[in-house]
Amino acid sequence: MKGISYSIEAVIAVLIIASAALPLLSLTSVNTDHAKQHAYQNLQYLSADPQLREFVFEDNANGIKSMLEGFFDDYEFEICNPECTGAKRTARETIIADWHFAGYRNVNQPRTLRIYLFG
Amino acid sequence: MATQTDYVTALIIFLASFAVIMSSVLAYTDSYAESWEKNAMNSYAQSLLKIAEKEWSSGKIGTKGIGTRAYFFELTIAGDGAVEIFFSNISIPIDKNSLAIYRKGLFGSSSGYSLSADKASFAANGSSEFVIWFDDDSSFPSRSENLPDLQVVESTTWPVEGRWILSYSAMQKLASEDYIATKEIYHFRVSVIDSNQNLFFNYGLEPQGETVSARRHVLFQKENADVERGELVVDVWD
Repeated sequence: MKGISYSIEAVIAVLIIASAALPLLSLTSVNTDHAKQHAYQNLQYLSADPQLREFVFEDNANGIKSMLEGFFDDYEFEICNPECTGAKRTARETIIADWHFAGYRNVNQPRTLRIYLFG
Repeated sequence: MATQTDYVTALIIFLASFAVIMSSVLAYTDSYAESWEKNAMNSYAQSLLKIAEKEWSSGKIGTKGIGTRAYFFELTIAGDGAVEIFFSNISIPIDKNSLAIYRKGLFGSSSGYSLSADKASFAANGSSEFVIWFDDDSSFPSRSENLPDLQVVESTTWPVEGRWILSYSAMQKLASEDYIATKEIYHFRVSVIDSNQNLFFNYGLEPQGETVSARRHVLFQKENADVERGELVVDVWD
């Protein structure tokens, strides 16, 4: 009986050690940070072309997709007008990058292009 | 006897679990130590990409910028003919020689235009949309050309917007800088490649050993003020 209680003690000791090591093992992924940064840099670049803004305000999903092609690998996007409804697909690690548009030409009508990147 | 067996079992469980945990932690810390340097170089390379969003200044490479605030506006054209852009209608000062005119959605081949004191003119075929890029502080040579006489066609000018692009003049200034004076912790090389993967600009040393690269898409000015798609590439090594 004593042996079993010592076994339990041993397991508890291991768990304490493991929990102390856990912070080391669960450091924020640098790659995730870079992926976010890269996503915003891509959106910044793409938004320099007025074509993207036009597609967003026309709800032209095919046009937007043609512009995003080659910039993102595994992704979904939505046009938030103004609310976002969320990605159809979920993954354990999903990065969200938003790009806001105040309006198009002489029309002030805020919209957001939201990109979901799946890890 | 039974008590001794219990003690031994407990000890074995403890030692086995402890060994597994320790080996995992040690393996992790080993790989962490190895990758720390790489992560540091990677972060540095990522930070150097920000030179695309800063204007030129002297000093170390991390404080420099090769960007410029450039502007564009859209024009909607009603039909065939000559399109006139009056500078007085544009709220931002224009360096006339920095004008680059493109059909919307297209980069790479700009339309020719003629310049006079108060306006720029170019020829348009059919109903179409154009994007006109310019900046206010560059020093490009004039590329005004003579265009055939055409009837002036009606056009609608849309509001001006600003964007960061790589400045040709800033790239030239960086090219003339002493590398040792610009180097910080790590060695580096900054390159700009065009959409055909041709090298347009290069500054720094040839990478050696384990090198970390970071890149981002950019628009950049060519020597004649054309705006091109390309990539800014930063290589960093110890």
